[in-house]
Amino acid sequence: MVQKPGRYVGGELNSVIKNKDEVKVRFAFCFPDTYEIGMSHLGMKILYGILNEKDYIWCERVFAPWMDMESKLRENDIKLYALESLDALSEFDIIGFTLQYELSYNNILNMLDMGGVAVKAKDRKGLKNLVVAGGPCVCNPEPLADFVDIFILGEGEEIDVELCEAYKNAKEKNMTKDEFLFEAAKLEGIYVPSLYDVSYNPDGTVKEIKAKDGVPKKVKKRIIKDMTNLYYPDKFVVPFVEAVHDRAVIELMRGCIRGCRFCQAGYIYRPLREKSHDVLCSQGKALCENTGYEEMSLSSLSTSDYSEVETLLSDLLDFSVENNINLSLPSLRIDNFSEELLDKVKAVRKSGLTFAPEAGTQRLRDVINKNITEEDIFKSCKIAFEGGYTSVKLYFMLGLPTETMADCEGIIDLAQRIIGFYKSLENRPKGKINVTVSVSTFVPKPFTPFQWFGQDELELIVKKQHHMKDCITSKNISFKYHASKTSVLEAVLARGDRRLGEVIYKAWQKGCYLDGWDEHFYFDRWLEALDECNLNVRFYANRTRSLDEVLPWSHLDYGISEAFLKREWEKAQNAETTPNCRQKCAGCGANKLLKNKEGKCVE
Amino acid sequence: MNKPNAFNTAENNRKIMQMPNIRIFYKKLGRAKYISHLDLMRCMQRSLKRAGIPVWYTQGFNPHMYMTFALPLSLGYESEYEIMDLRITEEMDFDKLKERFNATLPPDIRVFKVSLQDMKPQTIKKALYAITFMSENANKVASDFEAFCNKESIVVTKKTKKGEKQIDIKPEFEIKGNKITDNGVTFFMLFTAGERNFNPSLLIDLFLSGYDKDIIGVSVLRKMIYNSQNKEFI
Repeated sequence: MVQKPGRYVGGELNSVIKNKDEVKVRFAFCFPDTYEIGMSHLGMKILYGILNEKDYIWCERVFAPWMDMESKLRENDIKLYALESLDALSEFDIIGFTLQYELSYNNILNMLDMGGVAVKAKDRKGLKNLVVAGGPCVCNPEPLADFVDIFILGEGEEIDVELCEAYKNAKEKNMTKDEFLFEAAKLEGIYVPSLYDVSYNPDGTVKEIKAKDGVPKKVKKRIIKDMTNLYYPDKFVVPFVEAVHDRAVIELMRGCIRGCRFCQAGYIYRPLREKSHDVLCSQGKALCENTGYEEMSLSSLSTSDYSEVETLLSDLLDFSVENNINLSLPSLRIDNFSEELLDKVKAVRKSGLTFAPEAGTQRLRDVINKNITEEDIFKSCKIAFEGGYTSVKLYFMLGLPTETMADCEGIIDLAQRIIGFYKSLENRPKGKINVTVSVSTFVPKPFTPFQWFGQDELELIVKKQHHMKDCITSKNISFKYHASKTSVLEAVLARGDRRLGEVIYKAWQKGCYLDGWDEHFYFDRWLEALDECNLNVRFYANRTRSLDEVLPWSHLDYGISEAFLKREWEKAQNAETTPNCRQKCAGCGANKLLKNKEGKCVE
Repeated sequence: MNKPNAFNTAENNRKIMQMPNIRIFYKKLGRAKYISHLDLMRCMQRSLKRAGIPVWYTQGFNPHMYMTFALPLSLGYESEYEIMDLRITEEMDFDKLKERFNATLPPDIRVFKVSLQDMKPQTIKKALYAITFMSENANKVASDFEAFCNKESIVVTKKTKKGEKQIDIKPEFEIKGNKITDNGVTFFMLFTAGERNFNPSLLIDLFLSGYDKDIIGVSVLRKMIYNSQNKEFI
């Protein structure tokens, strides 16, 4: 028996059915992970909606089947299919993947293979089955250059439609694949890896990335300039099987003013663009009405920084109480909310308090530019404890630049002092205080100031984890950490070059896919594959790169200047902070993406 | 959208509690057979909400739509006779309720009747199923299955909350007839249902485990539910 068959049958409310003979472009939107993960993804909902608005496009959904379903499909010679038409992947004109996470790369190969489509780009000769990919990981897509025909940089609302339009024309004109790729490469935001040649130095670093004649030397990402008037779906496909995030979502803004130096999203989505609060309210209401969802959440990188946050929350809370809807709130800076709003928030907030200080000492928080002080933490803890909460969750990263054992001890020390603080409160709630400390392993990412930094060796991370465990004296602390081999692979792929294509292919043949799932992660097979290609983990993950090295993604332009990232990297090493974008412009360069606003990012 | 809170005054609540439940009869066919009971409840809740039907919410700490199912259906079964009870906070024409609900339900779930609750779910005693064995050798399968069912006793392993139990299923079912069709044979069978419930799969799985011939697939369709007086459950 296949588990949760509801994932594989489609027919959900609001899924779009068209007549395949009446459309010109059939687009398979593939999410390279399971249904429950993919159906939680906001980007897919937006693009599914926007593509299906066009009469000539039919966009359908495809997810990676779980292993039980895969073996049934393979056993019975059934190709992986889309959930709307139930047609095989090989029937589609464009097969689009979203790259959210490095460890889902191999699912792309497996899904193509299951769908009856050749895995390598060079083996797909015709215009049909064009494989494209977008999403955050596209900021360094080089490891996937062998498999994907076209990468889409930045936000997809406009360029995806432009690409489909160009494809439709190409089909009508009977263009060859090569002719079309050359045409597409002229669109802003489109990167065709086969039109760029990469050469290497003897030490394995990149020597040069050379664009072929007639295509841009640097490919620039696309952004949406006006969020308020941007298309947003008024209905979501409502799954039968419960997705991880199964609720209405409104998108407050894109970009983030904070500039935390470890955070890739904080850089590649720049500049900050907000949606007006009345548009958000009406979008949220429409979604609840058209889906029947009883829960709504807010999406953004930092909700507290939304400039109209109080008005928005106040309106949404009123709406949600009236309509039996649970408003699920992210962790907010609640210290400067009005009494009235705080009471409203308390009425819906059932879970405890969550903080992400990311580092255990103020020095290290300055290194990473994480703008949260102990004062902030204790102030919010006080409000929460006095409001009846007894549980606090703290998130940290290990392996940050300049980190010492003292910084690791600082994490535990902070947790113990929160417990002490709780016990010192006279009007504390009854019950047992619990502080959960959760540590993950830092993975340096492209387009951040830490893109040159070498990840801690696995042994050192494990040593730090054990040391922290030994430091805990209180029974009220739950310490959570994770075997970090997945973080090692993530680091390899995140900053890898094209030579990793062969590694990915070999690893897939050895059975590596669904790597994001612990029960299906085989690190040793990846090491074998690297070894067979004469490559190693150290070179990609742990080596600190020199500032003049040609990085594999240096031909891609996300609006952030390299000079700015270098400045930030220098400042980080001296534990100097950078004010947020509203306080003072740090000159990252992203303002140039907003030509129509005279280069002004925030008011 | 409905605003249930506006009607939740204590007096109104008492009135609603005194009203009999509203009974929704629906079919669950085709792709909908892959929707599990838990998922179905969520689906019903969302469809009711979209339809703007003024469903009564429980009044506890965590208010939720009041909704009960007379006889939950196993994952993978189809049914022509499913029953769900709920309460509404204001009067509504039953035909209109049916029409509005159907407009927001997935196409494979169809409401065919709305009425007041007549019989209590506790009085359910039996359910009629159409069990189809897909086979090119239908006659052979039919006589083999009949022979299997005619044995003195048929001991199956039933999983209960307390663990596994060996039970003789023979007294719990009855063959009402069969029909040979183009793609196999369909048996019409009554099984004990309700508080003591026997799932046809108990019998089918045992039969199939000792039978490796000619059966391509099995499908189960619930046709009807009966009460202790052998009356159709309404």
